[in-house]
Amino acid sequence: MSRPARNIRRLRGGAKGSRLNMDITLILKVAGIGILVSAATQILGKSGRDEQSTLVIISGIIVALIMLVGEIGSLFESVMKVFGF
Amino acid sequence: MESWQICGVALLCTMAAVVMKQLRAELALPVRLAGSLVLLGIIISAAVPLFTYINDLILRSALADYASILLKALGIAWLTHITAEVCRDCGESSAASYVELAGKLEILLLTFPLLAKILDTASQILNWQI
Repeated sequence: MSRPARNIRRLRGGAKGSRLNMDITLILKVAGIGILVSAATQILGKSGRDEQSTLVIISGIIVALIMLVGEIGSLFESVMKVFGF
Repeated sequence: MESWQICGVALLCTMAAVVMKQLRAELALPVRLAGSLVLLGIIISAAVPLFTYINDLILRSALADYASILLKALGIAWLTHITAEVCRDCGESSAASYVELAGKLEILLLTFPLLAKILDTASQILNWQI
């Protein structure tokens, strides 16, 4: 991924010292995982391996949530800093 | 922060969530969570200077003791409202009601010292009048 493309996707704003590492590729990554998992489950369902498709769905949800948990933590941290908790 | 950028991100998140709901309904929750996280991140990075400015103004006025309580109550209300909306989007309206109830109770607990102060001041005034 080239540098200028990454900078365009990163949304800048706010004062100096505020968090800028939230960019929209997070949405695209999670949606990409979802589409991949749904394609895999359809293929596995068609070839008769239903239990493996269920496992793929569960692992897809877990991977997506692992990706989000770090962001949730840092977001709540900055919220608590802003409101003076 | 440009408002059209926020609109674009919200539209992108909505489209992704609708697509995921059609394909696999249980995978729509991480997409919704990711969208709300990105939007909240943008909003908070834009709101930080505003809140520090309001905090400075309140600290300089007569309401200096109550500035932290006001800002905390605002933060609790905002956060619980957004979390309840995310829960309701996924169809769990009972979890949403519990989150809102917890937020209301927490704000009430936050204002108890103020209530004690008001009652003390009122009783002092009544003593003077006698």
